[in-house]
Order: sequence, then structure tokens, then C-alpha cells
Amino acid sequence: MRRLWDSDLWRFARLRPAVVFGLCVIIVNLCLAAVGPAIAPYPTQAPAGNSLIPPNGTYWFGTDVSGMDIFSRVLAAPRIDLTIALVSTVIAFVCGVALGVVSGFFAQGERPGRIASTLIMRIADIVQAFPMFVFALALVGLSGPSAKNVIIALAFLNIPFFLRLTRSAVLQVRSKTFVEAAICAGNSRLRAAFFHVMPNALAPAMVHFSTTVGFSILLTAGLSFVGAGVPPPTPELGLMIQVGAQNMITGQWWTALFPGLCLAVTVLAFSLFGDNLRIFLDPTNRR
Amino acid sequence: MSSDRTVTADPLYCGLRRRGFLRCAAAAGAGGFASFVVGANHALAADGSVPADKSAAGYTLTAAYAASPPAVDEVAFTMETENMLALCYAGDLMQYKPVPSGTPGIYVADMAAQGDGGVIGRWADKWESSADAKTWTFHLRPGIKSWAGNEMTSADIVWTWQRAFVMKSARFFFATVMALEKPANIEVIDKYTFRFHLAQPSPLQLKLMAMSYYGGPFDATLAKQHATASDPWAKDWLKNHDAGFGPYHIVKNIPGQEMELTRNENFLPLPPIKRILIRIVPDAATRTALLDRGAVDYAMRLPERSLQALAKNPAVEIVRAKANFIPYIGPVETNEIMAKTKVRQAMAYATPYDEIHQKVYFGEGRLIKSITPAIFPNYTDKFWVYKYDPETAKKVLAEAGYPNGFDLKLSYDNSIAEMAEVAVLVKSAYDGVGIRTTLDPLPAAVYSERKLRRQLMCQVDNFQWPWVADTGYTGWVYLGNPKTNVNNSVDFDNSEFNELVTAMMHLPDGPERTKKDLRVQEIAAQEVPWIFLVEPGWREAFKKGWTNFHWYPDNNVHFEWLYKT
Amino acid sequence: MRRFALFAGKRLLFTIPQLFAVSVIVFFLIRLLPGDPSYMLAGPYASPQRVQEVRRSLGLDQPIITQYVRYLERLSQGDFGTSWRTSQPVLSDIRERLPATLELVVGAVLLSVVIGIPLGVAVATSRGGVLERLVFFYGMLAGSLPDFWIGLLLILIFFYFLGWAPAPVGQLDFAVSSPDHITGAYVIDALLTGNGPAFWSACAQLVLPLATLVLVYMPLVLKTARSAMEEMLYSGFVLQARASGLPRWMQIRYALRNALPPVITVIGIEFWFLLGGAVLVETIFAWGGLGQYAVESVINSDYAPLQAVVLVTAVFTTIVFLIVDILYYLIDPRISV
Repeated sequence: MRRLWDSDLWRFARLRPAVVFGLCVIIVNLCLAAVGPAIAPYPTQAPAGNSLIPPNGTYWFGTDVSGMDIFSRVLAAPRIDLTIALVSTVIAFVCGVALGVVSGFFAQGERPGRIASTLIMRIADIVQAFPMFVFALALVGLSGPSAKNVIIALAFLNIPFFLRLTRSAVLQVRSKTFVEAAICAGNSRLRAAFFHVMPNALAPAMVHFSTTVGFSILLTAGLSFVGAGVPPPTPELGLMIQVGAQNMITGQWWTALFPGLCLAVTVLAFSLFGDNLRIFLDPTNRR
Repeated sequence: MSSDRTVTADPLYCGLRRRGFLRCAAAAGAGGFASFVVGANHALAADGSVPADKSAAGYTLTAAYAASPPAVDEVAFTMETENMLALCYAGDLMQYKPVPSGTPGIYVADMAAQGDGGVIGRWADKWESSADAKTWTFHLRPGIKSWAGNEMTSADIVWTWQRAFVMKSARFFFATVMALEKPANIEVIDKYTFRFHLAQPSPLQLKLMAMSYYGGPFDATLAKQHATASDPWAKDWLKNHDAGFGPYHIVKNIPGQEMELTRNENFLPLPPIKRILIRIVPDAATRTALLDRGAVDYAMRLPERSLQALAKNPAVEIVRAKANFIPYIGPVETNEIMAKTKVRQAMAYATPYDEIHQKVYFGEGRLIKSITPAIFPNYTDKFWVYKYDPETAKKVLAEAGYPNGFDLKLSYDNSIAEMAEVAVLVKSAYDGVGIRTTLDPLPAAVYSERKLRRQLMCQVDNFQWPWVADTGYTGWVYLGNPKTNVNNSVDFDNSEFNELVTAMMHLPDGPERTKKDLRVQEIAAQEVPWIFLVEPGWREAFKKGWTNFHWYPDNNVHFEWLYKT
Repeated sequence: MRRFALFAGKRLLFTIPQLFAVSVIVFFLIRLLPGDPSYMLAGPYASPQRVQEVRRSLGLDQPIITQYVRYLERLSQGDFGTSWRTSQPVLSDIRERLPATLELVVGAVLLSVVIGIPLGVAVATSRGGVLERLVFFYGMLAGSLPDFWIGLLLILIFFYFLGWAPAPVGQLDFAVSSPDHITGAYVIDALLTGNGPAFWSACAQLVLPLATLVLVYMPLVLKTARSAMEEMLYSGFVLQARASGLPRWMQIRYALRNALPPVITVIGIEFWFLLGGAVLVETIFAWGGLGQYAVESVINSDYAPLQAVVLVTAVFTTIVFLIVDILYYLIDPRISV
């Protein structure tokens, strides 16, 4: 505990309110993901009162078109949004890093390794050529809205980013002498790649993790907005905005405003955190 | 013209009209046995007609539609396609007579009359049937001209039916309903007269011909000009162009963006609206806002919620009439749980009818209590005993063998906002009696496919509205003979029901038919193949100032009647 | 020059197999997903035989490899198939809609560049102050906002409450007829044909959607311009310039020239984001562009347009990245293949 207090990270964070803010929001979200539905005052997937009641003492954020309490649903939403975002990002991270390490490590050296490496890169190029949203839309929209499909689509589309980041880091680390030493000492190439090089090349990918989580939440919301995300009446921020959007025009502003704000704040927190983590880890950028 | 409005609803009323071309329907034998039924009248009825000075006005109407019609031919089956077909082709030989609805300025099709009492001619001015109802002779009114100036003759009718047998689509389906086995069975007697020779008695023939669902007669002369050697039926050209005798004609069609229609100057009576400008606005909320702000005259397909909000705007009027919609919950009987009658009855006791009526439809419309819409003849609500009663639901569920409930998957077309709202309410009510429900919203095409292949477990649907004012027809088309009838998407297979509805298709009107009619309604209530929800009524939102709305069982807005006060 | 030709040549050569692979992925992925439009096409009164007929006419009853081969054949002849929703060939559908999307995307990128770069440079060179704070907050916030939500808010405030902006009905207002077709982009066409009412209407309709896109996507350019500029300003050679007594504007000019490469990359990335991001904005504003076409195709299980749109956008992106790489190379000769 003492060490944490004195650590570099904490001293860094203390000076920057943005990082504290980001961290707090993330922690709140994680807590809500764990206990949100349990502490919600009203049921989160069934009507709790009359429809379209403006925010008042009983329903803090008002009710939506089906009579469901928006505040309860906002409390329950992080569980869905964060689960989808975290799971898909973790999958993308693991696959992307593994592929990036292989691709970077074998980029120089014998022929078969080089070919494999280039092949991986070219495949990543191809995947990245797809417009992210349209592709996710096609994947999820046609196979039916469900959390599982969204996770698969998002993971698939995020792998190339982790791949590239790791690969360029690996390329830099690869040429260091300790790697050669490890191979001379008798480690197989693969072992050297994953046990010696990878730990030192993880930093950029780890930094990107946070921003990707934020971005995934946005993408999930966007997909739900067009009906290709999670099925109703799941409490998910994008879905709530979609249902609420229709009521915005007739003057019931609270139905889409609160979920939208929560979405913005959450994504902002993840971006801030990731951004500042990058600054923290890169000494030349420190100001 | 105040005298127009004081016409009574009596179908036998005769009165001289100002323009002199409307005479009474001398339809004797309404409701009786058809020995020799001769009908003669002129194109339009006494009610809801268009005053002459308004015809000359030449208005422009701007409309916001939800989507473009994928085609204006029977190769596409969206509501927008039906709408365009109704405007360009106006329907078949007969029509239901417009009668006052009770609300000033709104007229409805006379579907409640017994037998053929509510049916008058549209293109036909004389018709007769043989005693056995297997031979039907029609005489076209001379002088009906398409927008291209060609006159409607028997040749156009024959060409239309020949094309139907090639397209094998909706019109072909109705050919089988009326037992018309091949186009050669349409005998041409002279330029304006032709005769249908049917394989079986078709007492519903006039009502079948009163539909405008599958368009109407083609202007064969015009269509053939666009036929090619490889496309002799002009399928390509007719997908995006119309060759019709109807009141309007498409002059511009940019799919997904806009359409423009102009009136057929040869159509009688001349429609007051000369130009219709349509802009495609996919988002319902935006359409609502446009109407609210007065940017358009008409916004299509708005959910009840929007209509309630718009009703508060003095510059907007909501037009309502009783209609023939049947939204329902349909347990699909290919699933073994859904196949049990007691399970369906339990679900009928567990459905929150009043809550749906209040929350989704704001109390508008009425609860449905029979397979037969309330506006059809012989409607009775005495067999529908179900109301929201969770205790009874649990009891019946236990009797069915599911004391601990079961898991239910409720599917629906997610492009219809009201279905989604209904589904949410149904889910929470069913969850309360132990029927653990998961919602399954599906994109329109996927939903259609699975529904017609009977792959769903239970569906919430509103895409059925029977066109023919007859219990037998309604039962036959939606709930009869699943082995041969694809439309029976819930796979309801009750042998007595099948016999009754099949028999009714060929039975003339009379006490025996009425007895079968009631028995069909009784079985539909006892066996609960469909759990009926709310008939919301025909509801359209217009800028204030338009009047003379006509409701027809196709539930489209027929612009040819409208004018401004 | 020769090195450049080699570089460009190599990159171009690779693009072809890349696009080919894209077409394979697109085809198989979309074809293998559930959703058979035959039922919807055949309609509610069709017999099972009729549905089979429709399937056959769409070619859906063939094994998937055969379908792919026929797809490639038609593709090589420029036939992208027919959309059952519009009954038109997909190619003409896309040709009608692509200019609308480009209007938004190019407009948004241009505005982002025109506003974002000077703003970023200004913040970098001004060191501290209110401007920096404001820009920092805006930059952080805007990147997290969902574009569809901002669009809705803007419509609510500026159209519904204030009545300043025109109705979100697409590229032109209701009563205005579309100008003669030259490029397909209404603003340009109206300008070229001297069609006053259409021009002003088209511009007015552009305001809200462009504002939405710029608000949400400009921060990307802004942040990159600012950080690249800052990095340059504190780098060795600029320090040298300052020490040598060169005037400030000259220092900035040198710094700017070297700060450009990452900015160019990010403009390319912004194009890529916008091509995807414009989808939702198009839907909200009924813009009638490619994105809206794609969404409707998904909802209606309309395969041909969906494949075509994904393919077209992927091709577009590849070209954009290619241009970015080439420009990068031209600006910074240190970059190698």
C-alpha cells in the first residue's frame, strides 16, 4: 500500500485531475457492472410506472416509453456495455499481441518466418480496409442482435490495431542484445519471443487497451442504435438512446439525454485514462 | 354542395347528382340467393364524392413516406408498394361503396352489409352471375382511359390475367381462390364484355373483385409497347413504371429519395390533387416533426404515441376510422408446447390486454374479440371469454402440465415500433405467471422468412388485415389447411375448422352459411390459434384543412378523394 | 525519382491482391449469414414452389462456391447485382448515392483540416492560456461523444426549438427540385448550373449534418496537429533556428513542414472513420447516401447492395491509405518501403 502511494504512477496521477477523474469513473463503472442491477431501485427490464414521466422525486431520470425507470436502467447498463467492451477487447488484445509478437519476431531471419510474418501483416491490412461500422453492422445485423455477436464482431475488427502496435514494439526490442543472449543460452525461438521479447513490447498495446474499451462501448451503442446490437429490453446505453430518440422530437428530452451523457462520460474516462497512461509511459512526452 | 352530405346511408337511395352521372345502385337481391343478379351503376357512389369546383382546384400535396416501394408491380410486397399500386391502378372491377363513418369528412367502405349489399361497380357497370355462381359476366363502363389515353377494354382484362398466370404471384393466388383455372377460361364476348368460367361456385366473387391489393387492370396497349422479345410481359419496365387506369401516375421515382405523381387527367371524377410530391424520410420521429412544423401535408406510418402528441397541435388533424387490422400473438404449433390448446388458453388469460390498449395505443381503437373484424358481417364477441387474469392463467397452465411454467421465445419484426412496445408489456406479464419470456426482435426479411417457414416459437404480428369482408375467407387464408396454405404461419390444423372455411368459400349467402360463420368464430375463440390484441383503427396524420377521407380495406390513403375546405 | 517509382509501384501492385482478398471475405461472410430474402420477395401469398422459383432466380440454391464464381464473373463485367428493394442495379444505386456520402465525408474532412490544423498550431505556439484549456477540454470530450446522439441534439435544439435549421429531410428541402445531374453532389451541381434555389437549399441542408460530423471527428486532426507541432517546436533543429536568431515565423514554418507527416496520416485515418461514422448521421438526417443504403440493406437482408457497399468502401479506404503512404513518402524522404 505504501509502495503504491509513493509510486511514480500515483505521483503522476495526483498532478493531473483528468487522470483522477478518469480513474474514478472507471472504478464506478466497474462497481456498477458488478452490483448495478442489484442496487437499482426499480426493475431494469420491466415497466416500473407510467410511460414518459419527467424526472422527479420517484424516478430520478424519468421513465421511458415503456414505463421503465431510466435511472435503474442506467445503473444496470455498465454490466452489459462493459462486459461486451472488455471481453471483446481482451480477445482482440490476446490474439493481436500474439500475432504481433510472431510477426515482429520472425520479420528478420529465415525465409519461412519472414513469409509468415509478411502474410500476417497483409491479412491485417485487409481486415483494416473494411469500414469498421458497416462491417460490424453487416456481421451483427444479419446474424441477429445478441451480445455474443457484437463481441465477435468487435474483437475481429480490433485485432489489427493490437497487432500493429505490438509488432512495431517487437521490431525495436528484437534487435537488443539480450534477446540474442537468450537464444544463445539455449532458448528456442518461440520461447525467446514470448518470454523474453513480449513482456518488453507490451506497453503500447496496454495503453491502447483503455482507449479501445471506450471506443468499443461507442460502437456497441451505435450498433444498438440501428437495431444491430443487443436485443431489447436489455439495458444498454445505445439501445436506450434509440428508443429515447423518438421521444426527443416530441419534447421528452430526458429519455435520450441521460443515457447519452452517461455514455459520453464513460467513454471519456476510458480515453483520458488511456491517453494519460501513454504520456506517463513515454518519458519524452512528459511535460 | 350541402346536398352531397345529406345523402342517407341506405344503399337503395336514389338521387340525382349535380353532374348527373351518379345513379343509384339498383342492386336487388342483396343478401338473397343469386338466381340472376344484375347490377348496374355508375362508377361512384353517393357519399363522399368530389364536388366539381374542387376538382378544378389542382392542389399539390407533399408527403413524407417511410420508404420507397421496391417496385410498383406484384414482385414486391411492402406497404409502400401496395400504396402505389392502389394509386396507380385503383383496384379491380368492383369496389365497396363508401358510406359515412359518423365522423364528418370521413367515409368508409361498406363492409358490414350482408352478402354483396355493400359492393358496387368500379370499372364494371353491369354484371351478372349464373345460378350456380360458376359463370360471371362483366360489362365495362365505356370511356375509362389510362393516363396514356388508351381505353379499357376486355383485351386489357384478359392480358392482365394472362400475365398473372405467368407471374404466379398475388393475383395468381386469387385466381386459385376464385377457381379460375386458366386465362383461357375468360371468354371475351365483345369489346366491353367478358365472362369468367370458374371451376367451382364462387359466391364471394364480387367481394374478391373489390380488392385493390394486387393492383388492377393493366393498360395492355401501353405495357406491350415496353415489352421485348425476352420480356414479353414487360416485367422490367413495369417494376418502376405504371401502366394503369388509376387516378395517379408516377412521373419521377428516385428510390430511397423522392417520388412524384401526377394525376391521370382522364380519371373520373377528376381528383382535386394534381401533384403529389413524396419525400422518403425513414425516421418516424423526423416524419412526426415535419408534420408538426407544417413542413408537409401528410406523414405516413406514425406510431400512436406520435399521433397523440400531434393531436395537440391545432394545425394537425388525425383522421381515424374503424378498420380491419388484427394484431395478434401467434403461438406456432410446430412447437410441442405451443401445440397444446390449454397452453394457448393460459397465455390468453395471461395477456395484459387493457395495459396494451392503454399504454401502446392510448385507449384508441378497440380490443379484438373475434377472428372476424368488428366491421364485417356476422361479427360476434360472445365466444371470446378471455381477459387478463393471472390466477386463472396459472391454473390452466398447471392443467396443461406446466405448473412451473415454461420458457418462451417471442419473436417480432423490429422495424415496427408498436410491436416492440407490445412485446415488452407481454414479456413482463408472462414472466409474472411463470412463462419465462425472452424477446427476439428480428430484421424484417429474417422475420418474414422464419414466420413463413414456421420456424418461430411464438410471434407478435400485425401484418394481417383481411380484405374480403367474410369470416370464411379470413379463416381460410390465415388459419386453414396448413399443408397447402403457406399463409397459415402458426400451423393451426383443426379438421372441423378446415372443413368449415373451405366449404364457406363455395357456399352462397344464407342461413346455412351464417351458421358456419358463427361456428368458425367459436372454434377460433375456443382453440385460440391467435391471441387477439387491439385493433388500433385506421389512423393517418394530415395538416389541417384536408377533407373527404375515404377508408378502404387496403388501409391506404386514397388521395384521389381529398380536397381542401 | 526512380526510388519513388519503385515504392509507388510496389504498393500499387500489392493493392490488387488485397482488393481481391477483400472481395472474397465480403462475399463469403455475408452469404454465409442467415436471412433469406426469397420469402420476403415472393410475398405473403406465394406457394412453396413460387418461393423456390424466386430462390432459383436469385441464384441462392447453388452451392456457395458456384455462387462466388458467378459473383466474380459479374463483378468483372461491372455488374454488382440488383437490389430487390429498389429493383435497380446496385451499381446505379451506388452511383446515385455515393456523391451524397462524399459530400458529407469530404466536406467534414476539409472543414476539420481548415479549422483543426490552424487551431492546433495556434495552441501549440501560444503556450498556455485560456485557448489551450478550452481546446483541450473540447478535444477530450468530443472524441467520446456518440455522433448519432450529437446529431439528435442538434436537430432538437436548432430545428425543433429554435427553428433556425431546416428540417432533416435529406439533401434538399421539400419543395425544391433536384438540380441537373453533373457530379451528383447537389451543391456542386447547383453551382455549376446556376440553380440558385437548389444551391441555397442544398447548403442549408448541409449545415447540421456537417456540424455533427465536424464536432465529433475534428478533434482527431486537432490533437495530432497540436502534439506534432509541439514536438517539432521543442526539437533540436528548431532550437537551433531560434539560437541562430531566425524570426519566429520562420521557426514555425520549419516546424510545420516537419510536423506534417503524422497530420497527413491522421487525415487518412479520419477519412476511414468518417466513411464508417457517416452511416449513423446519414440515417438521422435521411441523407440518402451510401451509409443509409447499407443500413437499410442489412435490415432487409438485401445481399447484393451490402456486398457492394462494403466492397466499395474498402476499395476507397485502400486508395486513401495508398495516397497517404505516397504523400508521406514524398514529404519525408527518410521513410523507406
